[in-house]
Amino acid sequence: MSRAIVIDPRAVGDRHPDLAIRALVRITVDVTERPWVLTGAHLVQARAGGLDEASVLHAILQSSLFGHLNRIADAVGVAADYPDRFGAPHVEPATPAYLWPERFPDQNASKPIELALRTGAAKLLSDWRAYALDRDAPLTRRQRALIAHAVAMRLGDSSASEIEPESAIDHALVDLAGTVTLAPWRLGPATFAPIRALGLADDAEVFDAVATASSCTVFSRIAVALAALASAEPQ
Amino acid sequence: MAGKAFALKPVSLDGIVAPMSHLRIIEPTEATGALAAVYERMKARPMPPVYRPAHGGLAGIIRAHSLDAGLMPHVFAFSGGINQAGPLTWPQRELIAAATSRLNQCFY
Repeated sequence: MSRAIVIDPRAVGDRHPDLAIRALVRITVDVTERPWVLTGAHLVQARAGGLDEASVLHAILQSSLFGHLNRIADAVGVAADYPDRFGAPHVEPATPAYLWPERFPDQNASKPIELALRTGAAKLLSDWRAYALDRDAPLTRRQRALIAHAVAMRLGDSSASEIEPESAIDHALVDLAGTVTLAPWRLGPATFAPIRALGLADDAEVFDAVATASSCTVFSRIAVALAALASAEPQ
Repeated sequence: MAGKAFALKPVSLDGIVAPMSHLRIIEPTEATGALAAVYERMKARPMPPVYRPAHGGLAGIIRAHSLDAGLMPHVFAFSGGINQAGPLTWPQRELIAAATSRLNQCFY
């Protein structure tokens, strides 16, 4: 099955005979590509596979976390730690970006699964968010808020404070945040070139821009997925 | 030390020839101050044998965070916090990790 996941995870999510595996992969695909499409149907499918709410929450947290790890690995270009046993496909930069959200789930409505169900998770996430957004170097707080808003808009998260780009570097940071969020497989020297040309030339500055956006994908993805589960209608 | 933009040479880690990284990685042997301290904490974390890299050093995804020593503890504290206990089993967690990575075209 490891090879099937590497080749076509959607097929595993649609057709695997084990209902728990099917439910977990379906949740993972939707959290990764379009967290706003989760609905109560995902919970029904999970329960049919013998999974409880805590398991669904764990799946959302794990796929959100790995979305960040993927983005950092792609952005830095870190080498693999192990030989490639499965013949992994090559990255295809022309792959279309993930879609923009069609809806912004209401995060103030009652949710079937709360983050508090996982002891300690909310505090860890809050601490991570504070580190990512409440600093003035290398990026300023305003630049971090700009990135957070750009990420939120691309993931269906209505909770980020609205802030618009005002300068060339602002626009470049928003574009980079967009690539981090919706097409991380394109991250590399070409995508970093605009912000380098506008003054964020140091690798640590580039990393901060990418890591801030990537961190925000975790925060927004979890918030949107949990809010979306309250929806009764398939999207 | 902050990383300037420069090209890195490929390295060989136990037969795995690494392409040039896009951004600088400050390796544990070069790290000082806060980064050195957080690397030591990461080395001391309990880790299942299956996660220990073939090259014997810290995993690349940890070293990939080297340009922000303050971020590393938050990311891996969150990882440990959600994964050191269940309810998902290890195979289920790996399934999710593999599917996420495939969708994001991250083959690390």
